[in-house]
Formats: sequence, C-alpha cells, structure tokens
Amino acid sequence: MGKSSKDKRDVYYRMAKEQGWRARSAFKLMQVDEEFNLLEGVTKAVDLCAAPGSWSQVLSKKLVENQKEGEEAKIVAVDLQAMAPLPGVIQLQGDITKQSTADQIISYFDGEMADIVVCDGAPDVTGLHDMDEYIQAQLLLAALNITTHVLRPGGSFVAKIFRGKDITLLYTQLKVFFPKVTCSKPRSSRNSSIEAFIVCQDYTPPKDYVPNMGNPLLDLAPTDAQGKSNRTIVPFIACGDLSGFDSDMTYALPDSGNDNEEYKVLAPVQMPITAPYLSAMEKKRKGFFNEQMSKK
Amino acid sequence: MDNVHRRAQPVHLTTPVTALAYHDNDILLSGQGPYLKATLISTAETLGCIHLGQDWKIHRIVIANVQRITDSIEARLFMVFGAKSLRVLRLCVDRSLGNNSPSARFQHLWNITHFKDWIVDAQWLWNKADLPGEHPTTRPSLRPPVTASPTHIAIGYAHNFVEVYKLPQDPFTNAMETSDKLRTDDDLSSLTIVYSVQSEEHCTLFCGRFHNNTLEDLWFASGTVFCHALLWKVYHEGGIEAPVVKSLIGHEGILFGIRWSDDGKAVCTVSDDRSIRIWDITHSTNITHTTHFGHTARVWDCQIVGPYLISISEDASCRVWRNPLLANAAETDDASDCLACWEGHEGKSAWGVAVSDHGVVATGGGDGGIHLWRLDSIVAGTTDAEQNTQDVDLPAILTYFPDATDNDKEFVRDFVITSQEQSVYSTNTGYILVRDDEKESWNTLFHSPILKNYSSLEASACGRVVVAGSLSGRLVIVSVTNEFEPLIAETLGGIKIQFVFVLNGADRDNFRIVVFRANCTVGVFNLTISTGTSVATCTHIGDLKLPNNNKAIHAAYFSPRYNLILLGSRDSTVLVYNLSQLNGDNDTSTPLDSIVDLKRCHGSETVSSILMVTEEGEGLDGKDRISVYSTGRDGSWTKYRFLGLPGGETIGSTSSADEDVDMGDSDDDGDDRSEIRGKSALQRRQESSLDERESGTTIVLQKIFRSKITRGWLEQVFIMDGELLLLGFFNKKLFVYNESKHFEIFSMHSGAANRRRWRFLTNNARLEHTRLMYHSGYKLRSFARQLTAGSELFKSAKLQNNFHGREVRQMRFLPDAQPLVGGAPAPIIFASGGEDCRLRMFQYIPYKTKNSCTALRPLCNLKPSVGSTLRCLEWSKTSDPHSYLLFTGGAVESMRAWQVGLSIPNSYQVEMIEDHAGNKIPEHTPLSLGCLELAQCPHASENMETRIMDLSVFKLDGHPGKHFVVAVYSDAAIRVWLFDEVVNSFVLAIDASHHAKCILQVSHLSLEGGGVLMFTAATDGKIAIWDITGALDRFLEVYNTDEIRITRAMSSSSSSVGRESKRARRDHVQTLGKPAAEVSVHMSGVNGLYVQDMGVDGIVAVSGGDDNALSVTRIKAVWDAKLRTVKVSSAKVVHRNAYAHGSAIQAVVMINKAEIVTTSQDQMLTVWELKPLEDGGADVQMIETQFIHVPDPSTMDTTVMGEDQRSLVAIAGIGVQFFDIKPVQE
Repeated sequence: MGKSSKDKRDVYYRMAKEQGWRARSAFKLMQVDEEFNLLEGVTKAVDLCAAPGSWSQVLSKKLVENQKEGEEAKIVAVDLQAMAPLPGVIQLQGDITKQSTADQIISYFDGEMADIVVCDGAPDVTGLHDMDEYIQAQLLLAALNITTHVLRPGGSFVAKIFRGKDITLLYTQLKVFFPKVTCSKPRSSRNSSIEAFIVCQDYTPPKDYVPNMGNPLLDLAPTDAQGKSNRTIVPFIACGDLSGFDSDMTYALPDSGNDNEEYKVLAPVQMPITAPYLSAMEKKRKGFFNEQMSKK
Repeated sequence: MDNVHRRAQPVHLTTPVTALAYHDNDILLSGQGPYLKATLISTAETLGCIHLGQDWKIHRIVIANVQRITDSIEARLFMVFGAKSLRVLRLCVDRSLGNNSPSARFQHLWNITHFKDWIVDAQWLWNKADLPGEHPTTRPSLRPPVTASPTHIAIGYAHNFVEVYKLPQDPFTNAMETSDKLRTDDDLSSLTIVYSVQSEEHCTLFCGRFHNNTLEDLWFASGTVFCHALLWKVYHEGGIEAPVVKSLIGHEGILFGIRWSDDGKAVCTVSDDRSIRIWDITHSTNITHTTHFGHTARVWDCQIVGPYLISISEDASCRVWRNPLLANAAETDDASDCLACWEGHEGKSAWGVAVSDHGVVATGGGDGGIHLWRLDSIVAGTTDAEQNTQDVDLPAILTYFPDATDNDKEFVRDFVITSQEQSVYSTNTGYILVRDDEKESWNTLFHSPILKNYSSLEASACGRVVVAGSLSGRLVIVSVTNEFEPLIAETLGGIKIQFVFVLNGADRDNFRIVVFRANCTVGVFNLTISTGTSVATCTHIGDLKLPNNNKAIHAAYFSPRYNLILLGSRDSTVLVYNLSQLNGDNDTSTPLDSIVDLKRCHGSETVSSILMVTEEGEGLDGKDRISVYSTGRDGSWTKYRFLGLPGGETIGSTSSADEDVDMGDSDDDGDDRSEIRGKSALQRRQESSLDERESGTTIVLQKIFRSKITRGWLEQVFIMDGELLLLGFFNKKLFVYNESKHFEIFSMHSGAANRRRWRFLTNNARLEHTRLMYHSGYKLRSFARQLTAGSELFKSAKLQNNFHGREVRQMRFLPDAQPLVGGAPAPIIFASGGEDCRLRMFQYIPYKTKNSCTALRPLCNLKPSVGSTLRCLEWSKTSDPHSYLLFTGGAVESMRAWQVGLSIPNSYQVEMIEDHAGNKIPEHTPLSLGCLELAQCPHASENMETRIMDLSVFKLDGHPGKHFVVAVYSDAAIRVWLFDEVVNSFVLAIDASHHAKCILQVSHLSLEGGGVLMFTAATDGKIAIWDITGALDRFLEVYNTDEIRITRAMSSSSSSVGRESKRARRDHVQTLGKPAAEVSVHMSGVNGLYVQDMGVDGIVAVSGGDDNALSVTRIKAVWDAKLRTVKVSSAKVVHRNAYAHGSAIQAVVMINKAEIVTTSQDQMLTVWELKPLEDGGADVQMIETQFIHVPDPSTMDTTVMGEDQRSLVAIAGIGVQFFDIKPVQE
C-alpha cells in the first residue's frame, strides 16, 4: 500500500491537509455549524478534548469573524495531552473531571460565561463495545458537568457521541439541561462510523441546580425507580451539503495534468506531539518486533 | 414481564469469550456474552450453560471457596459481573456418577442489576476469624482449610470508589436444592451496604483489582487513564476519602489490566503502551519495576503464576514470560524474557485467561473460541529445555574397536532415531552402533571398512531396519533388533550414495529402498525380511529416470496400494513413477519414465517431503479420495489431488471442491500463490490433460491448494491422529505447526535445518513423546519430551470452535439447500465474511445439544487475499443440487467466484434426537463442504482503493449456467458482470454510474416474463430503480455469438499470471441511461434495503437508514412482454418512521410478505408488521423488539427452518446470534 492510499480512500483527509486543518474533523464542526448556525454571534467558546486542535482552528476562524469593535473573541482549549500552540487560542492542559480545570476556564472569561462548549473527545476504544460506550459516556458526562459550570444560559453544547446501545439513556440526561437536543451526522463523518454529534441548544439548567464537580454525573439506569424507561430518542439530522463530498466515496486523485508526475502526498498539518506507544514504536524502529512478527 | 408474547426466540449466540475461571483442574467456567458455561476440559463436554443477563455481558468471574457436601459432591459460590450488574451463583458438581462425566448445576442466589457505577472488580470477604493459616487473608477461595462462607462482597467501581455489602441469608437451605428458574432481578436494597469509600484521586478507571479477603486488610489497585497505578487501603477510619498509599509511575499509556501477586508483594500492570510491568512493592519507598515488551498491540491482562507471567493482548496471542521476580539476575537475558507466544485465536484480541493448578492455560478470544495450552510444553522452547537435553558422545573407541589406532579419527557420520529409547549411529571408522538411550549403553550392530569415511544413514518408520549408503555405492542393511543378519547389497555402478530413503511396503516385513546416487540417478530396491529364517533379501527393482535437469531428490514416498513412487526434487518438481510398468519388462537397466512431472510445486525451492493419503469412499460419487501433500523450502505446503487411480476419483468429475482447507495467514507470497489459486478450473483441466498426454496414462496429479506457513523452511509433513502437522525451521529454531488447528505445538533452538543435521520422532499429534537430535557445532544433542504426566488433562486444544475474529460485514444462508441423505432435514449453511478478510462457512445445527452455545460447525475457513475486507457475498444455484456458486466482494475492488460442493460420508445414518420440546426429530447431518476459487473479477475502476459495497446475483430463464452479478462500488459505479460457468470467468456486461456518492446497497427483482428491475441506494439517502432488461438483452445478443465466447475463453486463460494487470475488457459493455425512478427515502446512508414482490400490491422496497428511520417505498411496475421493458409508473415513500431505532439501522429483511425485521447499532432486533393499504399507502406496526447480544450488528439474513416453516434469523457483527421466529398463535 502506497503512501497516498489514505489520500485515495478519504477525500476529507486529503482536503484537510490541503486547507491546513490539523484533522479532518474540522469539516464535521463546520458542517454542524452550517446546519445549526451554532457559531453565529459567538465570541466566547470552550473546546474540550481539543488536541490536535482542528476544532479550535474552526472556532478561531469563525469567532474572529464575529468579533465586534472593542470586544475580543476568546477560545479556551482544554486537553489532557499537550497540544501544539494555535494563535488566538488559550491552551490549558488539564483534566476535565477536575474542579480546578473548571475554575481555570472561568477565570479566562473575566466572570462571564461561554457561549458554546464543544467536545470532540473520544476515548481509547478497546473493542469491548459495552465498556467503550461506557467510557465514552463518562467523557461526555464529564464534559457536560464542566459545561454546567462555564456555559451561559441559552448557550449550546456540541459533543461527539457513539450511537451505541445505551445512547438513548444519555439523550435523556442531556434533555435535563437542554430543551433542544438533536443527533446530527455531518457528511464528513463516515456512514460506516458509529460516531455522531449531539447538538444541545438553549442551555436551561434545572431550577436550583448547583454545579458540582466533586460529584460526577453518572449515567442512568435503563429504567427509573418507578420502572419507567429512561430511554429517549432524539431527532436525527444529517448535515452538510448533499451535493458536497461524501466521506465514504472513493474519489479519483486530482489529475496532476502530467501522466509522468506522481500525485504529491502532503504531510499532515500537525504531527501528534505524544502517543502512548512511542516506546513500542521506537523498539519497532530498531527492529525489536521483526523476529516475532515475521514468524507466522 | 413484557415478553410473554415473544415471537423471536434467541436460539444461539457466538460472541467473544470475555471471562474465564477454573472451578478445579477439569471444570472451566466461561463467560460468553450473557451466557455462563461450564465445560469439562478433559472431554470438551458442556456440563451446563445458563443465560444470565438481559442486556449485559459477563466481564469477570470471581470464585469463592469450595464447600464439600458429600465425598463426591461439592459446591462453590461465585460471582459474575459485567457493566453495572452482578450475580451470585452456586455451582454444584456431582461426581457420584461413576465413570460418567460429573454433572454440574447452577443455583441462582442473587441478581443485582442497578449498581451505581460500572464495576471493575468484586471480591469475596470473610471474617478474619474464619480464615486459619499462615496468610489468612489471601486467596481463601483456593485454600482447603477454609470452610466458612464469605460474609460480604466488596465492589470496586470505575470512578475509583469501593462499596462493601453484607450478603443476605442464603435463599437455599441445601446446595443440592434445584432451581432452574432464573430469579428475577433483585433490588439493590436486598443487600445492605456496610462501608463505602472514595479514593482521594477522583478519576475514571479502565481496571482495578482487590487484594486480600477481609475488610480490614483489603487493598485496591486502580489502573488509571493517566498512566499511573494507585494502591490504596479500602478500610480507612478517617473520613470518606481514602489516601493513595503507593503510586506506580512509569507506563506511557492507559492501564488496561492490573493484578496482584498472591503474596501481595508485587503488582503486574499492562497498558496501552504495549508493555507489561512488574512492580516490586515490598519496600514502601523504593518501588522498582521491570518492563516487558513483545506483544504487537495493546495488552489487556497479565497474571503472575509461579515462575511465569501469562499475558493476553489485542494481538490475539497469549504470551508466557519469565517471572522477573524469581529470575536470577545473572541469567536474565532481555531478548528471551518471553518464553512462549501462543497464537490460537483469529483476528483481534484474546479477552479471557485462566490457569489451572495443573498448568493448563485457557484463553478466550474475540473470535469466540476457547483454546487450551500447557505450561509444561514451554519447557521445550526455553533454557529449561536444558534439563531434557543431553549431549550424545560416542563411547571410548577402544570399547568397541579394540584395534583402533591413533590414525582412526572417530566421530559420528550420521545418526537416526529408531524409537523413543533408541538411536543408531554410523561412525567415521565404519561402525554402526546402537545406543539404548535410557541406559545410555552402546552396542555394535555392524562394522565394515566400506562405511569408513562416509555413510548416509536412514531408518524405516518402524525403527526395525537401518540402511547405510556407502561411498562405493553399496547398501548396508542391518536389523536393530537382530531379526536378520546384516546384509550388503550392490546398487549398480559403484557410485556414491548421497541419500537413502527407506519406505514402508505392502506389509510390515516389506520395504522399498530408494537411493539417490551422486551421479543423479535413482535406484529402487525391494527389501523383504523373512522372519522365519532370519534372512533379509534386497533386490533391485529398477531405476527411475529423472528429467533432464538432474537435480537432487530430497523427498520420497511409496504407495504399495497403487505401486507408485513419489519423488520431490531440489528444483521444486514432484515426480510420480508407476512401478507396475516395470512388471512386464525385466530389463531393469532402462530407467522408468515418470507418469507425472509437476513443476514449480514450491516456487523454485526444494520439495522437502511428500506423502500420500487415501480416504476410502470420501471422494465424489463414493470413490476414494487420494490426496498428496508436500512441503517445501519456500516455507509452504501444497496439497494435490490424484485423479485416475484405480477406485479413485477421475478426471471427468466436474467438481474439484475441496474439504475444509485454509489459505493460511501468510502475507508475503502473493505472487506465487496467485499463480496457483488464480487459475480457473478450465486451466487446471488444461494442465491435467497435458500431463495425460505426456504420460500416456489417465493418471493426473492436480495442485489444489498451497499455503505459506513460515519465512523459513518447511521440512516435513506428517498426518497424525487425523491432524496435519508441519515441521519447519525459522531463525535456527525447529518448530512443529499444527496446520489443522493453526497453532505451534513445539519450537526449540536446534541450529540450522541442513539435511542430516537433525532427526525428529514423535508418537502423536500432541507430540507427547517427542525426540529431537541435532548437531550443534561439533556436538550431537538429544532432546526428549515426555508429556505423560497429565496428558489426560485434555483431549482437544480447541475447547470451543471460533467464529470470525473481527466484525462480520455480511452473511448469507445457502438458499434452498437440499437434504443430502433421505430422511434428514435440509442443512442450514451460511457463508460469512468481514473485517478479518476471511471467507468462512458454517453449518448451523439446531438441537445439537440442549445447550444453545454449541451449534455452529465450521466448514471452511479461507483467506482469499490479505488486507481485503470482505464486504458482501451472494449465493447462486447451479444445475447440481449440491453444488453452488458463491460470489464475494470487498476492498481493493476484489470480487471472486467460488464453487462450493456439499457432501457427507457414505456410511452416514440419520439419527433421531429430541428437540427442545422433547419431540423426536431427525438430526441435522454433519456435512463436508469443499470450496474452490474459480475466478477473480478483473478491475474496472481507475482507483485501486475502490471498494465493492454490495452484490446481487440473478439468473435469466433460458440462459443456464450464466450468473449475472450486480456490483455497486464506493466510487458510485454500478456494474453488471456475467459469470459464465462454461469458461469460469467474469465478463463486464453493464457499466454505469449514479448517485455520485458511495453506493451502499443493491438489490434486484426478476419479474415474470423476463424483466429485471435493479435497485440501488447510496449515502445520499436515495433509492434508484432501474429497468436493466434491455441492456441485458443487448449484451446477451453480442455475447451469445460463439466467436465472442471463444475470445473470452482465450483471454481468460492467458491472463492468469499477474492479477494486477488484469483489467476488464469493455468491448461489448452496455450502459444504462437514467433510472426509471428515484426516491429520496433517508437523510443519509441507506444501510438496509429489501425488495419484495407483493403480487397484486405491487412491489415494496423496505429500507433502513443511518438516520434511525425505517421507510417503506411502494413501486408500481408493469412488464411489457412485447417491448421487453418494465414500465415503472410510480414509486413513492408511503411510510417513514424516523424513530424506528435509537441508532443507525444496519440491516433490513422481510421474513415473509407481511413481516419486516430490522436491526440497528442500538443492538435491538425489531419485528414489524407491514400491511399494504388499498389507497396505495402502507400501515407498519411494531410487533416486538428485543435486545441482541451482537455489538456492531452489520448484517442479517433469514432462512426457512423445519417443516412448520419457521423463520430462522441470524444477525452478525461481532459474533452472531440466531433467532427462531415462530408464527403467531393468537
């Protein structure tokens, strides 16, 4: 398989590199925004699980456009991992389950609250689907928990979800805080992928709700104490231009105009700063795995 | 309960094995989705199988202590948990049944389904006073003196907190009390919480483990997502948050598994960073650790078991490592800390592991299989093997050669192993010595100057006869057991004998000796022992003529039954000689010509061994099936079929389907393999007839299969206990690979593979008694492995057959399968393919046992090409009721045609068994299935990455043997291919493009009269309806001229070599205009499409989308016989349920004209009733919905089962689940 095979397989991957986005997921936020106009007039945004930073890039571009005289747009990007710097984005390396992280985010907004909180985080997927879904739900609930600290009433929350067996329980929990919850699938997200984006609008916390980081939100049981189902199905909206690119489709590589000229493969915009398997990769590079890997 | 009127009954589930625990050395408990199974490992018998959960799967089994009820009856409490649910059960084992298997029963004590949070571990707790012994608080579950029952359970949660519950009164008065009834869910309130504590570190855990079994001494180890392991004491007097006592810092990724050593002095962690770390925590301040790399993917679990670490990983292997805590620092060698890598599972991940006291390791795979391994087998591959290896030194020369002088340089020239206790040596001074390897005593068998300075030794398989070839061309034949006087035979010409082969003859006293002389000639001799007179006679039968290239012979086999000699040469040729051709002609000086000369059997490498197997009556039409196997130094083994031998299959047979062969995993021999497998049946026939003409006989040897096993050499093939074993060398290691079961049984360092440098002898497929002798430098080393102790531990290493190791993308039942024997039910067979790139076929056997866990029989397991996901497959029928065509499609635009034949043993008798309801029914016949690749479809797209997304196959009336395969592609192409049985090749008939999106679904409808409608659906949410009748007519008109057909045949046979170069010819391709109709039915991808002809109600297309919606489209279409067109007058969406499922619908089928079944990523199966309304609309009502235990369901299919026309529905994704949908009896 050649170096260009991912380019051939994935049109958005190729376009992201061409347009300078750090990841193809930039298109997902842009397409969600096209449908819901979430970023209209927004000047303060929080990007949770931001690395490698493509959503912060999109926020930065849009918020600068929205910027009015004398009012500065503010984006706080939070991630457990270090992230390469981005102009105009305040970076915070921290754990979104921690009160201190919430306090720090709030401190950047000078007593004001954020207009939107976005979260494109996904945990390491193990392949044990029930556990993967659980961990993803915990990540979303942690993001929701921190959102209740930093989002202004009426604001929006967008997060990646896995539409697995218990997603309807999460919908129910989100409905507690947002009257309008929609499941949205941008066309840049593959049809074959279990991922989708939950778009929660018009933040309306329950009366007397006191945000509390010390007490994590836990996912709901399938039925409540009265035996009533805790499952809710929310509307589904596919977003992005139907006549636009299809992330599942195989496109021919753009013609270089010269048959002898090889298609030029662009390097990724930003290489990952860290990965858990770096030591293993280093060993592999030195030939450690060769003997055993080639045996059978 | 809401499912009183349930219609869809789950009847079988194959799913990853996620939890394993031994009750004792013979009974293994396994968690497979919601099922808990007890299996006797000695016999692989299922003792019990119970369904535990509504919608959770078992993640771990935690055992308590054994309670002895009587001498032969014992009981054990255990917990199983998964997600937020936990169940307490009691296993009662009764061994009072004499020699019969024990019986096992389960009692359900408590079932709690609503714990606060995800459970990562649970632990039994005792009162400290109840635990006598030296280390009272550790592992009372395994200590016999503990008779008291545990009083509490501790539960560790994913948010790093622990709760301790008091167990209520045991609901049973007696461990033997029967209760098959599943207790309904208990409320959490039936347990009393007595203690609760949060770790001071608030975080999410992937894993956690308790240590010790009293609340006072209880520790918890938390494996965090920020790469640290935290150890903390659960019982903490000051406040609700417990401090972290020790932090283990070093991993570079999330921790997936954590365990304590039994004594609590060490902790073992595994991580996303692919490493295993062992932490010595005996010192509170100075915590040291060792790091072990080796797994090629993430590691899920590792435990410390005596001198070993045993780990399982995402790479699907189980590895055994040297326990670093016990290792002597001086001996530690970084490179060899891994002692074994057991690869028995397919695809991704081994999830469960358990070790018995007898050292039997059970692993559970993501492939749903359970594999057994023996720790004592490791001895073979490690430095521990030293204790079973010894140097063999000749005795002092004067003890057997009193006249030896200082000029007599003595050393071993050659050696053979004649039995487990005996070996024979030829020495430089011309002696043949026999050694009693037990007593280490030596005896002289023979001495002669003719063997001085050179000898080539070989023994008969029985070990009674040893033959030495000399420099002067003479054979010395000696009896090891003194059955006859030593014999010296001339072999013509006085040429040095390079190799000798002693082959079994017609009876135990008859042998064929084949000699290969240094001048590249081959002689054949007959050796007969006359036991009455203690005389052996050796006569020259004749010489064999080698082809001109004159390359050395490395392999020989004699078949007394057919009087054939098979030779394998260094230039990769297999030669067959018919010794009967010598009979009428006593002139032995003219060499005999070969009847088969098959070149390039192993690329261009040496054929290192060869053998022949006759299976009586197993071939087509009840004839004998005669197979030949060879190994080669290209690292592969080849299988051949002999046709035209007396009583055997003949060339005229139309089907050359093969039984249960595996294409192997190899990924670096693409070119070689395609050369063989890429040939169409037509070419094979050509190859055969060529041999026929040359030889002037009708005997043909066909290559039917080849698989590369190693990058090194394969040196020997043997069949033992019905299993195919391969011996090879790689990296100076000798290994024995069980090809039938796909695992390495044995491997050890033995130096290089040169011929005459090693000898190997074993007694059975498990290699229980194995000897290996090899030269190591100037030393001769002898290794013996005796697995007698505990060889009765288990019979089969495969305790449970596996399924696909990764997500299945499509499965299809064999349509209209016919019974192969009178009185038997029609077999239920399906083919499946997916992300593991394998094509597999299984037989579903309902009521095989009372336990629904074991009803899938694997029939075939093929890997058509590396790295190419199988996305779609469809069956097509041929004129032979037991022969089918299968078409598969997938990544890199690959599409193949396969011929599948069904057969059963002739002797098979239908047995009557009882079904679930106790009715007598005929048992499903266990079938054999042969699958042969017929053709690969040429490429037609510009972009190699194009995927074939779906297929639909139909035949046209009046065009027998022609199969039309509609394929839709990820680059929006729609192509109809003709697969013609006559030439076995694909011809492009129609090429079109539509949707401008990745097309996901294709279906067709053949109308009465000959019209064909095609339906395509894409990620744009649209369904396009096409009349392709005209285009097919136009294509057939040109195709049916003989001229084109001949051209096709020629072109297909000449382009077999590089498959990449093969591109579709477009000269007669038809195009399609616009679709007859197009409707927008979903917001995004159409993942399921089912088209049904409803008769007077017209046509319906039922579809399910990524948008969670179920849609029904009604289509009115009329066939115009005169114009041969289908007029589509209307197509509109008449029903749309946007909330049909909680997530993307993945598959839709109709089990009859009124019932729709859908499944979705939300893991639900829903049955809907469809009523077409007279106004052109449709009414769709949900009948029932239930949870399915198949994550990522991707495909669904249905078939009719039994006389009462019940529908069997199967849903596959990660695993497969079957549902029996019964007609309504209101």
